[in-house]
Amino acid sequence: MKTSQIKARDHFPVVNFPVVAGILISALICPLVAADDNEAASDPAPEQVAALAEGKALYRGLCSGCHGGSGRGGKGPNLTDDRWLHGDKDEDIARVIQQGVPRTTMKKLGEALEDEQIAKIIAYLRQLGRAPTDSHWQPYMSGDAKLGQALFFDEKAKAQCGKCHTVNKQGGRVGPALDRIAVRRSPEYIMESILQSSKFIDPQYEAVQVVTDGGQLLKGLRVNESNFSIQFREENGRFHSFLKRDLEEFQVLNTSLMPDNFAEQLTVKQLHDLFAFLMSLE
Amino acid sequence: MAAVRSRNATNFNLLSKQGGVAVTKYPSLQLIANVRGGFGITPLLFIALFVGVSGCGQKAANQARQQAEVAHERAQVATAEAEQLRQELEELKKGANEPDPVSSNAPPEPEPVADPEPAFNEPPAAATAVAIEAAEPVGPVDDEDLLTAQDNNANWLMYGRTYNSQRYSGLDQINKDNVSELLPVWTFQTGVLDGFECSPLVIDGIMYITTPWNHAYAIDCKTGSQLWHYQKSLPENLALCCDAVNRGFAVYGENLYMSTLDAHLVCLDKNTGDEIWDTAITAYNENGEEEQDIYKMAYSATVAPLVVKGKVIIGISGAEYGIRGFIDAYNAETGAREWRFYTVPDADDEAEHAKEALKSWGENSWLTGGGSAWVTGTYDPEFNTLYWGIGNPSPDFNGEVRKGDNLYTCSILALNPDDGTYKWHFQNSPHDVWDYDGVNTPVLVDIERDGQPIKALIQAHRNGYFYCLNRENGEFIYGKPFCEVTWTDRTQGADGLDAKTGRPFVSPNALPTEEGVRVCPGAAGGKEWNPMAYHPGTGLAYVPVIENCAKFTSGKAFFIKGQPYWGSSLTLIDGEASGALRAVDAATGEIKWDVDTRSPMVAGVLATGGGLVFTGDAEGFLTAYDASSGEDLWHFQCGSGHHASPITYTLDGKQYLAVCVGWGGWTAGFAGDGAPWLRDGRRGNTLFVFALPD
Repeated sequence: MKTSQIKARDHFPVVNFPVVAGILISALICPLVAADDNEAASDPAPEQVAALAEGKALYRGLCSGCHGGSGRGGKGPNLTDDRWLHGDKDEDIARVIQQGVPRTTMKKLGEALEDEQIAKIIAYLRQLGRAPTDSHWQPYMSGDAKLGQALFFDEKAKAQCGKCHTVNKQGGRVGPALDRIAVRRSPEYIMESILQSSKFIDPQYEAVQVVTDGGQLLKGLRVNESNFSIQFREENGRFHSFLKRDLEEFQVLNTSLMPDNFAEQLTVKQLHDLFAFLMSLE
Repeated sequence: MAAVRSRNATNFNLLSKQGGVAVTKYPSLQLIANVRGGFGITPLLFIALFVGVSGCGQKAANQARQQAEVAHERAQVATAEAEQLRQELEELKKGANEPDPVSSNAPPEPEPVADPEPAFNEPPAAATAVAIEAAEPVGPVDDEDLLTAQDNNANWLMYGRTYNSQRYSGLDQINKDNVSELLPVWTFQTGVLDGFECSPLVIDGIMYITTPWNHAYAIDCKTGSQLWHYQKSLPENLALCCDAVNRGFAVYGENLYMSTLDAHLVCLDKNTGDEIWDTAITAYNENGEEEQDIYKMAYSATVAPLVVKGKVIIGISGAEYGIRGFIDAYNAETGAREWRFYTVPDADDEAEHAKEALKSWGENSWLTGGGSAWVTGTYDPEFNTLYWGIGNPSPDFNGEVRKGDNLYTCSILALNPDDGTYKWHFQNSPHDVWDYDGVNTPVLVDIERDGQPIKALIQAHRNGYFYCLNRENGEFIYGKPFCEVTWTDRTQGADGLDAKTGRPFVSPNALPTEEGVRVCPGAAGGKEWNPMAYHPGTGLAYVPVIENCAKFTSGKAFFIKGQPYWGSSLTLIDGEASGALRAVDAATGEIKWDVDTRSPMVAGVLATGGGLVFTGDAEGFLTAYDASSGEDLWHFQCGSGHHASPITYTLDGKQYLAVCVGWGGWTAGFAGDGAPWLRDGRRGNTLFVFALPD
């Protein structure tokens, strides 16, 4: 078996906005950008900044060992998604921090922390779940979200986003669901994902290509991989499982299954509408 | 990366395929399958006799002789055919640089042929046991049993199998030819979740395991039936950085010893599971008073104890919580503490070494200095020395509040096991700020460098370097990176270490900052605690590797008694985690073969006389690798990720392989963002036992 695996590390996201992304995107959509020098979002109050900083220090010192520095989990659960096993309200989270979770390694922190400190941790956690916003992107959101939505699901249009992505349980299931995408990802990430689909590939959505011992070439989205086997699903939904040793060739692709020609396929107006729609998914 | 890929993989494949045919064609060759190509038949007979006479008593010796004679006869018949095959193989071998030192595939050669360029040491006699005899019962385990554990293939008497912790068994009934037929014979489900890190003991047909949350079981090796169950009563609200784990029992006499999560040491009757004594490990609290319930100060114990001359030796856990570490010895009979060695010195300690060590701690930082010792050490009876790896300083990522080298954190300590006095130390990572928790097993091996035999100690350190020291005096021999390493300035010294002293040249660009800085390896290190194995036949150490850089941030360090004391955090970098199993030449630190894996390799390793290396992966597969080439010869899906160490033993003349399987431990250090497919990894807690079909 020939293995030419391209490691995930070859394309980990290094966001260098706006230097690189900005140039590309500006070139595409500049004509529509009105000069808008007003700061779109006003700076948060200093006490709010201080509270978040304290929440961050407490989170990092006390929580990150299990839940990860980014809060996206590791030994302990992910704290940035929508799944809250013990209740999603602030008071539920406060209770878990105060009392711990019996029969797990989640300790009681109630004796060590003031209520106010716990509230700051929760405020920081809520912020961790949100991608950084950037007022610089405000001018680019001049599109019509309604038109963008129509375009997203229009089976005859060139974008055909809904063929592979779901929003509100509608659409295809090949790529990641895009609910709450505006909260989970930054504007530049979203814009770049449309224009350069292979730039950031979620490791959960990598594409693989195999050549079977019969010489058949198959391509699909990886469902699971181990040292000895690969499971993937073709775009048509067909599932395959192979032992790697039985394959002529196996490759993890560093290109996305998503088309990479939207810059040519869509008009600038359509691009703006689509972007506005995605940015409305909070 | 200095990694040398599995060289001549194609050639090796070709050879093993051809070898497989040869053995099927000449079943008589199976018996001598473990002998190296150029070893010959006659020496084999003598070895068989020697092993028989010295190891198994008169009856066993007779049987061994008979079997060896049969083998000799059969082999003679086969010799002519084998010679022809050998020539064919020689053709195939052309172009292969490395001979296969422990191959069971290559047919025997009629005459001992001088190997023009031997790549590895000859396997020692112990590696060439011919047939498995029903073992004499061990009975109560005494010092002699522990000292001669290497020759006792039927049983597994201590954590690392032997005092040198090579995790090597000479058993070769399961070997390269037949390992592909290995099947599970029974499983044992404990039903207790969290990381299953236990290295089981096997004594006279009974297996003894410990599980997360300090349950323990005795199991009949023949049927997998439970003989007894013990559960430690544990208080609420324990401080456990890295799951509610335990790494196994130690045995002495009729007693078993388990360290517990509430920082106790319990002694159980191995025949009934009854508790004989339960000793609280004590420590001084902030007022200088001796505290009994030190779990409230975030001390815990997870280590498999080591028994040396009637003393049960353990190290403490808790360096993520600002504890002050120590190694303790308890009387095996009474449970009374006999000595303590503080891994972080005390201002009142009069010993010279402690006064020196204290100077390496800024202000009063030693009070919360960390320095846990949570992985079982090793022992050399010749030098009467105990070797122990010491963990990270507290707080982990903020070095500002603990200026200095922070001795003896991230060090290897050599102590006198009789009284716990200091002999020497070697500090791998002075003033660590990346949680390169230096607890990994110091494995004792005899190597040769420039024609000189050296009694060495090797350790694959979390900091990414594979170290070799002279174990008599702690002298640095070499340190070589075995994974991606960026925390040292690699342009200086030898690979970033002072060539004479082994002290690292720390790269100023690698120090954690408020914004975060990418450093390799990540905080789980280049290798986690899970033990490597050393094969005396190949001279290779088999290292389970984590390739995972991380973004380290430093921040406010606030100490709250009993709570985590990290001094900020680390973030894994999206999708960057992977792993490898690497074979490192113990004499030189060179990587001889390298098998890349999808996920970090975080299970222990076993090497056997069958020319095999066993270890598990994060996706649940237990795999048998060819010890010479790294080729995978067999794998089995165990249903949950591996984080424990396989063992091997015999029962009624048959070789078995056992492994505890259950994902857990400090997966935050290598899963999550780094390997998102392992996030919230599925738990499980099952012991698997494998054997060849009858």
